[in-house]
This record gives sequence, C-alpha cells and structure tokens, in this order.
Amino acid sequence: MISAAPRELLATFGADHAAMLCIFYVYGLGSALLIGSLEVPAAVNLATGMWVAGSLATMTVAAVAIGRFTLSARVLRLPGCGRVLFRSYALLLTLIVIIPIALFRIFIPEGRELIWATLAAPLGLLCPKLMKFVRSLPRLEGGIPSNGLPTETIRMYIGRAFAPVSFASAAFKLRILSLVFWSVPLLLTVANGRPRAAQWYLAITAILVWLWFMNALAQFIQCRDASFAELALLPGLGHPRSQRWALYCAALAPPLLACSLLAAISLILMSWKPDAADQILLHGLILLFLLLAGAGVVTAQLFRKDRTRLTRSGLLLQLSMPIYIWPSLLPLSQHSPSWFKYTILGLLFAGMGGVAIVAWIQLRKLARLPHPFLDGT
Amino acid sequence: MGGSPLRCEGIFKRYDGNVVLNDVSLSLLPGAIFGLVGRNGAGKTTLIQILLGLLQADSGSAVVMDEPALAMTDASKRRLGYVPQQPETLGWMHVGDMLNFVGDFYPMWDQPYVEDCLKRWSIAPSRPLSKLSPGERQRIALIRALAIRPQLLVLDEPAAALDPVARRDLLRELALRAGESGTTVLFSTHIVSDLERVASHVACLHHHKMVLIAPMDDLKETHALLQVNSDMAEQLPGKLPGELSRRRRSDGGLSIIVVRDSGAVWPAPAGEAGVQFESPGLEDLIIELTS
Repeated sequence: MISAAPRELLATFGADHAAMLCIFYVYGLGSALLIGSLEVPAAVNLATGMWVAGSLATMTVAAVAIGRFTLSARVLRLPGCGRVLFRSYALLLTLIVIIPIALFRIFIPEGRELIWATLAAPLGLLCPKLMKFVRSLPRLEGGIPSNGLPTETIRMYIGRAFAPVSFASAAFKLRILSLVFWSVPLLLTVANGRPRAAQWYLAITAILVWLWFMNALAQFIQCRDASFAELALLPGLGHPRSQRWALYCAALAPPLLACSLLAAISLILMSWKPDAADQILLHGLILLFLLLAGAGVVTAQLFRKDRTRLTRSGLLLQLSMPIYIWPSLLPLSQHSPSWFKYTILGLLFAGMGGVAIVAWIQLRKLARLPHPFLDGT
Repeated sequence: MGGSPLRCEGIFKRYDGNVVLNDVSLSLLPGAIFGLVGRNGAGKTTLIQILLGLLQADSGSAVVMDEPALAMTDASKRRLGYVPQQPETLGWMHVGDMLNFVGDFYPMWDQPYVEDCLKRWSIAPSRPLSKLSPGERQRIALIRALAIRPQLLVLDEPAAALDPVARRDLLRELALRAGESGTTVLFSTHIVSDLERVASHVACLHHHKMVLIAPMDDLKETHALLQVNSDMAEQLPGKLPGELSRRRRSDGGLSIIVVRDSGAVWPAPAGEAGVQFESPGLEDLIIELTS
C-alpha cells in the first residue's frame, strides 16, 4: 500500500517526468554517496559536485512537471489542488535538500563542504521561466524533403535536442553563440595552466549535454507505441531493418559524438600529466567495451522483422553512457584514485545505473495506479 | 485494387505466455467503415499493430493493400493514414511546422483541406503542439491522417479521451471525408454509440477471439437474442446451431445470442414455449457477446 504523499507527488508530476526525476535522484544521490564514502579526496569533490548538479537538474524537471500539472488543474478546476501542490513541494524539498545533506553528513565525514551548495537547488524551479527567454524553436524553413536522409527525419521525431537545424535558423545561431560563451572559460582555465579546473568544467558540461539528449529521448520513448508507430508508417524510411538502423544512428550518434568530443578534450588535458598513461589506457578499454557492447545490442535488434520493438535496448545503451563519461572526465590531481579504486568507481556507476533502471520500471507501474483525486469516487 | 485493402488470417499472438489474440481473421471491404469493438484488454490495439506490420504475429498473416504487412512498401505507406490513441509525436513543434513537415512525405497532401480544418476548428498554426488540449491534438492527428487522402485509414480508439461533443465532431469529420473519397476505415472503440454513428460494418473481439463480424444493416435480421427461462434452460442441448454466446442469468435462465445466414430459419428453440425471441439492439448485442 502506498501512502498518499508519494502518490500525490507522482500524480502532480506525471509518469514521464516522475521517471526522469527518479533516475536523477537515485543515480545522482546514490552514486554521490557511494563514491564519496570511498574517502578519496578527489572523488568526494566529484561526488558532491555531481549531486549538486543532479539536484539542480531534478528541480528543473520538477518545475516543468509542476507547471504542466498546474495548467491541467486550472483547466479541469481540480478541487484542493493548492494543498496537493504544497505537500508535493514539501516532499520534494525534503527529498532534494534535507535528506541528502543528512546522508552526506552521516556517510562522508570529511571534505563534504560543497554539499551545502544543495541549498541552492530550489533555484532550479526558476529554470523553465528563465529558459523561455533563450528558447528558440528550430524553424524548418520548407521542411525536410521526403528523399532526405532517414536519420534526419527520425531525429525530428526524437525531439528538439536531436533535430537537425539549418545554418540560417535562429536555433543554429543560438547554438553557435552558446558554444562561444562556453569555450571562453575553458580557454581561460587552460591558458592559466589549470587543467584540473578545465576538466571539472568539461565534466559538468558532459553531464548537462547528456541530460539534454536523454531528456528528449526519454520523452520519445515514454509515448513509444504512438511515436514508433507513426514513425514506422512514414514513407521514405525504407525496410524495417534499415529503419531500425537509422533510428539507432539518429538516437546514439549526436550524444555519443558530443560526449566523446568532451572526453577527448579531457584526455588531451590529462595527457599533460606525466603519470597518466595507465588511466588513458583504462579509458580506452572502457570505451572499446562500450562500443562493442553497443554494437552487439544494435546488431541483435537488426534481425527483428517488426518495426517498433527496440526501445529497451536502446534506452539501456543510452543509460550506460554516463558510466563511461563521468569517470572518464574525473578530474585528476595528485589525489587521483588508484587503479583499484578507479575500477570500483566504474562498477559503482554501473550498479547505480541498474538501480535507476529498476526504479524507472517500478515507477511506471506506480503510474498506473488510480489518481489520488479519484479515490473514494 | 479489387481485393481487400486490409486483411488478416489466423492471427495468433502471445505476450509473456498470455494469449492476446487467438486465431483472429478479418477482411475489410473496400470503402467500408469498419468498427472494431471490444472491452479493454480484448486485444484491439495489438490486432491493429499486427495488421499494420508494427508487431509480428506468432502465426498467421496480415496483408495491407496486397502486400505483407511486415514488408509494406513506401507506395502503400503513402496511401495509409494512421491515428494512434494518444498522438504525441513531434509535440515540440508548432502545428503548422509539423503539418508541413509531414506533408512533404505525401505527394497527395491536401493543403487546402488542412487550412480549412484548422480554420474551422480555430486552431492557430503558430501554436506549439505541446500546448494543445487532448481534443485539439486528436483533431490535428485526424487532419494529418485525412490530408494524405488515404485509401486506408486506421484509427486506434481515436475518440476515447474526448468529451461527447468533441467525439461527435471528430466522428462526423471522419465519416464525411471518408465517405467523399471512398476511403476504407478501420477504427477501434469501446463506445457502442460511436459505431452506430459512423460504422457500416462491425467486428467484436472478446476473450482474444473475433466473436462477431457483420454489416450493421444486417445485424437485426441475422442476429437474435433468445431469453430462455430456467425450466427450458435445463432441457436445452449443449450448443445451438449458430450460437455465438451464452450467459446464465441470475434467475437461472439463459441469454443466448444466435446467428443465422440470410434467409435461413432460426435455430429450433426460437419458437418454443419458454423461449422469448428478441431482436437485440447493437448495444445489447455487444453487451451479451462480451459479458
């Protein structure tokens, strides 16, 4: 039996956003606590920094979800909606701020000062409002012709983050402008001989980029029956097998390319250190393993005849990306972890990824329960 | 194209050990508006997905416009419209952008019709799809499906989430446009009044089997409800000729749905004492078949 508060929270957010919140929360907090408790100074900083970023992301998604709920509540004139929102906010802040600070104080006795930055997490609630000022929908300007590349068509279906944009569009100019602004601090830190700060910067960027792509992919997969069906019945995408291949290329290539680029810059910075050869080799091996595993999953899917059954493997593959990305961008210093602890870190990330997936599935089951407002009717 | 635009034969599908469809066959006549009715979980969506090649059946075959559903060519896809239960695709785009984007894939795209519908339903092309109400989104999905001038249109519970007025509007548009262009339509629903409003044929799925396929006009002449009292019920043989369903009532009597071929006589007990012969309405017929 589930008590009313989590069910209200779930109903307030909706299953799709709640699934994302759960992933951010379990993955971010769990990984941070486990890594932090290893008592490796560099890892403690990474853990707390990671959680602070995770809490901000969670709050941002929560703000989007709450906005959507408020709009629906206004349209439907739901009774008692104010009280529900108040309880949902209270539960959210307990989960995001109070519990993590308490857990960090218990499990990470040393070097956890950065955790107080979690107090800034509620600012994430303002993000959607701020984003309205900078958001610009990619204009299609004539659309993509039906003889265009199937991957480009599929990218349009996956969502805004994946959509190809023309050079003349406002969205393209915005991206270039963002890139310029982003590269200034990176160049400054490198020019000042602070590769560790640059690696921190790259790590945070990689997390945000991954979340951006993952968000679009999750939205696409959440309504998978309708989305895949409409996509599969669109002319011009070819045989189901080639269509599936194009979908994998479209879904995996942009985030992989973006994150690989960031990882490559990080590796170059790492190579300045005289004793970094072992860790560069380890990065290479992890990357090779992931590529082979990913290729295996994709190849197995290509032998299916029907058009829509591919989502879970694709999703798992996507979720496995940070297992590589985050440790690979681990800022290295004189306190860098040993080989053994480094491998343990990777395994912990993988384990937490598994927990997050299980949490996602469980949450989808919870979402099928009756709406709390309908209890007793 | 003289044959059936959409047909399947002996479809069998199992999910995680549970049978979802058991030896289901269906064939749509060209130009017919076919209503597929059944209770929640009867297998309607699975059947539609198999018919369109979105899912692979464990056995049996599905054919769309004379091509195997699993290997449909682009030529067939261009003549096929599909409206899912919850159309959420391309929700990040504006209404006009989305319709332009999709229209580029279809050579027969009817842009004046799109503009006329948007105007009639007061939906501005500049609105983001994600900001539309469910009813408006469903209307956009219908516009999108009808604007390609499909020869075959498949709708998966298109009106399930709509209020009665919006549902009536949507179905009226569907019937009008499909009737004008001779489009063959298959739509699933669990709302019987929707069937009565637009369908020319009805098919009923129950317990993963097809229990009824008939033209709407012939239903009253070919189907009967026999209300058998408790005394007579004890004397009835096992299964009557043409029997479709049998339900025991709380008073011990039986409600039996029987079918006969056109012009043929009704099964034997129809005229006997203790057996009340009724010509059921569509709703009663569906309830008897699926209860």
